Amino acid sequence: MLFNSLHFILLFFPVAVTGYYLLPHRVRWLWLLLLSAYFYMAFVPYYILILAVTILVDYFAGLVISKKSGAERRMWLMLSIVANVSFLAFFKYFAFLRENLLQIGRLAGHDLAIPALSIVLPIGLSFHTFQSMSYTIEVYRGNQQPERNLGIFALYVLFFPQLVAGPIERPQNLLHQFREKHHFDYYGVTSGMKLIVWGLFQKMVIADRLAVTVDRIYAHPNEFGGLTLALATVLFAFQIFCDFAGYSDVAIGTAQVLGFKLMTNFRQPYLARSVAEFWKRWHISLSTWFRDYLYLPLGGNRNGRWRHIVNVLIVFAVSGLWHGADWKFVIWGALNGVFVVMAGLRPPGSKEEARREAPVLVRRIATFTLVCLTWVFFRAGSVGEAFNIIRRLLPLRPDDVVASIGKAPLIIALGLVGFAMLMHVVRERYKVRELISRQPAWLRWSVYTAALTCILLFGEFHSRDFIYFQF
Amino acid sequence: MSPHPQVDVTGPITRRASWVTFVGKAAVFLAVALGFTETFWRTLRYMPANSDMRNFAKLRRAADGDRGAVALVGSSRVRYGLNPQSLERTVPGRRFRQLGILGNGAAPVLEDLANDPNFLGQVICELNPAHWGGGYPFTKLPEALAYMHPEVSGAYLETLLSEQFRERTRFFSYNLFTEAPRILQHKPVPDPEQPDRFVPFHDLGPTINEPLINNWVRAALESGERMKRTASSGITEEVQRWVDRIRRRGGDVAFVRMPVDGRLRAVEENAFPQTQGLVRDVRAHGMVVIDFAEMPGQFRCPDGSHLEASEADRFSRLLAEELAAKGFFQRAADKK
Repeated sequence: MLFNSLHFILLFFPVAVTGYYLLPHRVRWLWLLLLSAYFYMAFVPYYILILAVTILVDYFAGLVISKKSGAERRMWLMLSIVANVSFLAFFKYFAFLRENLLQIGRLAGHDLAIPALSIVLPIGLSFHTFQSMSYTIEVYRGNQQPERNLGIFALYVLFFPQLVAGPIERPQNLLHQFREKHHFDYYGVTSGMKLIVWGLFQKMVIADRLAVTVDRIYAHPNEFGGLTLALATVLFAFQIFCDFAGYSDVAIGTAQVLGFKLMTNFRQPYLARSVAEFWKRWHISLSTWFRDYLYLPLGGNRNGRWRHIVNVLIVFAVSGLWHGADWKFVIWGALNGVFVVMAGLRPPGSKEEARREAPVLVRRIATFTLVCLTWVFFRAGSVGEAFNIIRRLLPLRPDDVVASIGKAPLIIALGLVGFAMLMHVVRERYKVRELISRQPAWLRWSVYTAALTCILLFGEFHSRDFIYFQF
Repeated sequence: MSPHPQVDVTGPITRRASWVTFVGKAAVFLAVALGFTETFWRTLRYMPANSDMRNFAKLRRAADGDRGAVALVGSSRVRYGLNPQSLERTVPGRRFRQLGILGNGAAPVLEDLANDPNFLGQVICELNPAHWGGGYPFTKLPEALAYMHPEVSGAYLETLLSEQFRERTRFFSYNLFTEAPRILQHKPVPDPEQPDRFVPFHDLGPTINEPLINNWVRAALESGERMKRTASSGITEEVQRWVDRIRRRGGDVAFVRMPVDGRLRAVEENAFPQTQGLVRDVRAHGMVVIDFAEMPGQFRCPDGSHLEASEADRFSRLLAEELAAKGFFQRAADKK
């Protein structure tokens, strides 16, 4: 079920919230569990079985890990991780691995006989697998008590607001909330609703509208010149931000209406002054997951400079692979890693100097340019197509952007990007929801009505999937 | 640490209300926003219409068991270009069912009709080499067919809800961004969906037509490239099987190559050189093919790809006459 579908907005969400507050506290978790299962089964019903196996494996792994110690404890953790990664590898990476093995075989002069399987990737598999893995790791580290109620653990993995595209939660933040009694809090509910409306606006008005232009240009890159391709890449940067941040806002808002607090996933990423800072602002729940469960266990920056560089590159390459079973995602991740490493390679003392030389605006523009360069790999159909686009991008050849995109679509696209950027600046400076809440009633309700009317007038109601669903 | 920390809005917000008050306020707020938007569209004369998917399902079911039914199958070219009323005036006693689907080739609906033992009628099917050869990306199952044969999943509920909304509201189907050029140029608003599913196509002038023509040209060039690798110039065994099934039940299939115009016509002729071979092959298999290029006169398509409404009327009448002259309707009647 999509957040921007009528099924969710008119039926599921009102029923979920009303039922939740009407039911006694002791059965609310069961209500949420049933709703979450229905939410997931609305996509493809039998996928729930795959999720059920993950839940069972990690539930029992958590219980066993908490009782064991030493090497045995470590072995059970490894078993849980291997099981989770195997699931991911089979459903998400089998075709990719097969294709690469066949290619290597051909290069070596052998025709390998690896059967082709028609495997469909369950929606949001990477997200709930990572969330489930974080539970067993935290139990192993002693930061989290094992959850003995299988239903509540299942709800932790299945919780519908963040089930298919995050934020990827940690057990310490989420599990205990299922046992807490949430009273109807007017301010919390309206605040959550505001976030939902803002998320839908980002998705339906900005992202889906920009997608029309981006899709057209990226479908036929050879027909457009450098400037048009560069502009399409900038539009894609905002499309993917509004798509994913929009989804996260609806998810966080939905949870807030029910009285839950999910972690922040985006903090104005295009105001970052370096690629490293960008990753502290973009998809925070994933970045911190990789930091806590991969980068730090690899040694972080504790084992010398070269080991630190290698660790950063490994983390970003794996992060790329997490996004999709394609070399273009690996290159996208690795490129981000290279930019992060390069920023850290300047000799000691030169950072301050460089900071003095380059104004904040210049650093922000430079960072945005580098990030856009990486988005080419993310959006292109293949690695070859990405390089082709970059070849056509550099040097920027002037071409008739207006003729290529059309005057009206160009004005609309630039207007939407300008608005998204303005909201970046405003949200960096103000807590917008609180600010609105402190205004007189007539102004508050005018803002709400205007926002909803904008969605109704300008929104795309054709339920385009969220980009991150494919991961 | 950000150099511009967020402005701290101090002091708690102490606004409190029961959930009943909240629901009441939210209902008023929704009503105002929905009412405003709906009024806006209706002021511009955009009116709610019958749901297309339901109409599709209704017409598709109406064709079942009816030996006088003639299903019109194909893409938007059929949907905009074949007017059931014009066809019925020319061939009285036949019931033409418009089953064209925007953005989809003829294959899925033809297959559905062939596999349905209750369908006993005839089919006028669009012949476009790009559709049969995997040129245009018309591979997904049309929503309309999925709506007819629902599977147990949330997708069906979503479709049902959105169809209900489309029938009662205008805002749901239109977007101010896409409609702005039409509104600013005071062009006529699109006609609401009609129960017979024929959509009159209007000439909206060069500002709107040119980007459409460029789009079709680009699609044709790209699918032509793809088809160099995939398509044959003959009718596939699969299509033959479907036609045979329909014929065994007393029906028949006639193929029609829908008109294209101007720059797009020249581009398609170059991009799809296998077209004439396909036409010859279908005829060699004993099926009727009406090719617009063999018909007298020109047919005007403002965007290159779709017949203008009055031209659709003329083309439909001519097509019916040609089919009647070739004995298409008679042959089926004889079998009965």
